[in-house]
Amino acid sequence: MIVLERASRWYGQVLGLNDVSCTIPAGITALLGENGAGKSTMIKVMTGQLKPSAGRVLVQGELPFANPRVFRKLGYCPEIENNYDQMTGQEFVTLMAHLAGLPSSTLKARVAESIETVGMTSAAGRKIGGYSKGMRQRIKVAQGIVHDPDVLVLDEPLNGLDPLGRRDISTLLHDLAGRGKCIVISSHILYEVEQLTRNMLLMAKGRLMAQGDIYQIRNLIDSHPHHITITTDQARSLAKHLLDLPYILSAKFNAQDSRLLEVETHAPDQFYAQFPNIVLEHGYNITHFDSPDNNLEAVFKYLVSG
Amino acid sequence: MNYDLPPPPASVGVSNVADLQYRNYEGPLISRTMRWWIIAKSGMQNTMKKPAFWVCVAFCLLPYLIHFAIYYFTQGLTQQAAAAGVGAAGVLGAGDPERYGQLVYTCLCSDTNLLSIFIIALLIGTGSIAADNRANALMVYLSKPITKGDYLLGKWMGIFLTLWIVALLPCLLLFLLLMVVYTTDGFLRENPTLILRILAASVVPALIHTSLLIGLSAWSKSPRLVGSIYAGIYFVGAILARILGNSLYGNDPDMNNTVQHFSVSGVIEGMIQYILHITLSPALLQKRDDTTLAMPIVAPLAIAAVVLIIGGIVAARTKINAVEVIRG
Repeated sequence: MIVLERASRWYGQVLGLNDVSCTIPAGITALLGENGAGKSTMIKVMTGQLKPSAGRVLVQGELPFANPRVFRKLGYCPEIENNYDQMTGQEFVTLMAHLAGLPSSTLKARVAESIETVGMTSAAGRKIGGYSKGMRQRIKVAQGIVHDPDVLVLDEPLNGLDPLGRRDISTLLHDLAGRGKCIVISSHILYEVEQLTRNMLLMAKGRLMAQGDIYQIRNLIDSHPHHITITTDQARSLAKHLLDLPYILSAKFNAQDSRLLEVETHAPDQFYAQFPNIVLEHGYNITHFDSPDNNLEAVFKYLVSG
Repeated sequence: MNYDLPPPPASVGVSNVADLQYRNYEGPLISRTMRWWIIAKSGMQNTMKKPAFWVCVAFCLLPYLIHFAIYYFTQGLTQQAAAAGVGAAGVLGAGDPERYGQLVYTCLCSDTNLLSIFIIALLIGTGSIAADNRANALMVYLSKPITKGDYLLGKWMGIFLTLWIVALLPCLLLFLLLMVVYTTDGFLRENPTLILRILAASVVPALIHTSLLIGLSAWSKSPRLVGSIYAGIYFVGAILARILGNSLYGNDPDMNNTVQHFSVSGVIEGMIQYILHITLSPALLQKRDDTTLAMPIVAPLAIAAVVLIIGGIVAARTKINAVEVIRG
């Protein structure tokens, strides 16, 4: 578990992290934000590479800054591309396993296991310089998990991976989360993160804007109406019934497609509870139902622009 | 007919599909007291993979191999001289107590040797930290249970040990050769401290090159830039020191000699000369007249050497951080 208590970090007059308090439990948590939002600073503070200027950070109950005891429980995959090119994947993971404190007696087997877990066994003997971007990502993950850390921090881990690679790494991360590991993933590709977890930390301008389950967060944003699109042959009739409901703000017909109805509500939960009853009662034939606001990107957009 | 297949070998698993499921590590994690050694060893292993390194090592060994051949072929002469009552002194310079030290100096400070050590230093030192800086790899290293001190010491030792071995190995070969050929003529009796002097003298170039390159490398993200700057400091510094010595102390040979040593190469040569405790003979200076070169004044040279070494290490220590903090 990672705990930030009013953690701030500033660089001269620039505020990198501004009074952030949160608890990151076991499982997968996504750290989201635009460039300059403070994601990197937060990761560096959590991984003990920067000391908070104020407040404190605890990783598994200990202060992480320059603390080898914490580093022993921590796996970190930064977003680096061009290093260790002269080493083979095997040598790289072995070096990192050595540094992590694995004894020589178990090192070789454990390195092989980690490399196998990320699907790199066949390429482990090749130099990293010849790896594709996806292979580099995999081998970085291998060095991050080689010492079986309790906390794993990954910076853009799915970057450069092909669909199969993404699935493999996602499966691995879910597997690790299922074993009680605390996993933090920083990403700017919201769609990918959405597939991995619903637990988010949303950052902007150094502050933590929202945290928790993405759907719960969405429901808390009352000021932004929730949009729902419905496709039916009886759009006008349905609009009439929906507008009778007190929590429906508007119903608009799409100019290009008269079957498409766009509804705005400030109480999505009530709407979702009531809508099936209306459909069944009047026998509407609904061919498509969607809420563009129910995804991470929409929530993120609302929060950042708001 | 028996169609039964033989049983699969033990190494083949039950399933053809690899088990990629994550497995917990149940073994221990140990606290190493010499964590820096892991980094040093890795650095040295990378060096050994570079063909250019071995070419330079060959150039370092070349003068010693030539000496080896010369002594091998003159051994017969030596024995004849000994039979005639002239002894080894007849070959190496009669009655000169510094003759063996001068020989070591010739090999250690020959142009070929100094240049080879310098090139090896560039080869392995310029990118030692600069390449890590460029790729933000320090974040990986320093997220492991090691300290900045471990990292710096590991990088430093990786270069230092390599350079020291490169400088020392040929000297040891020479020492062994001298011991084999001249022991009967009192080589060991006359030179009980020579081996210690060789050990100390060969440390000097390794110490200075390593510290300066580590210091420069930590402040850069470009190994090539580090190499260019260091080559500039090394060669231009030597020329400037020579010009300065001649123009300021043209009439004072001692001071002239000392000031001429105020460059990286000058400090290395001066300290080696001091440790071997020799006056450079006309033969060593490749002069036809009787010119000799006494030892430079040691105190300022020693101070310069310490400043170069500590300065380089402190510069590196200041700059090594997992994260480069740019203040707004």
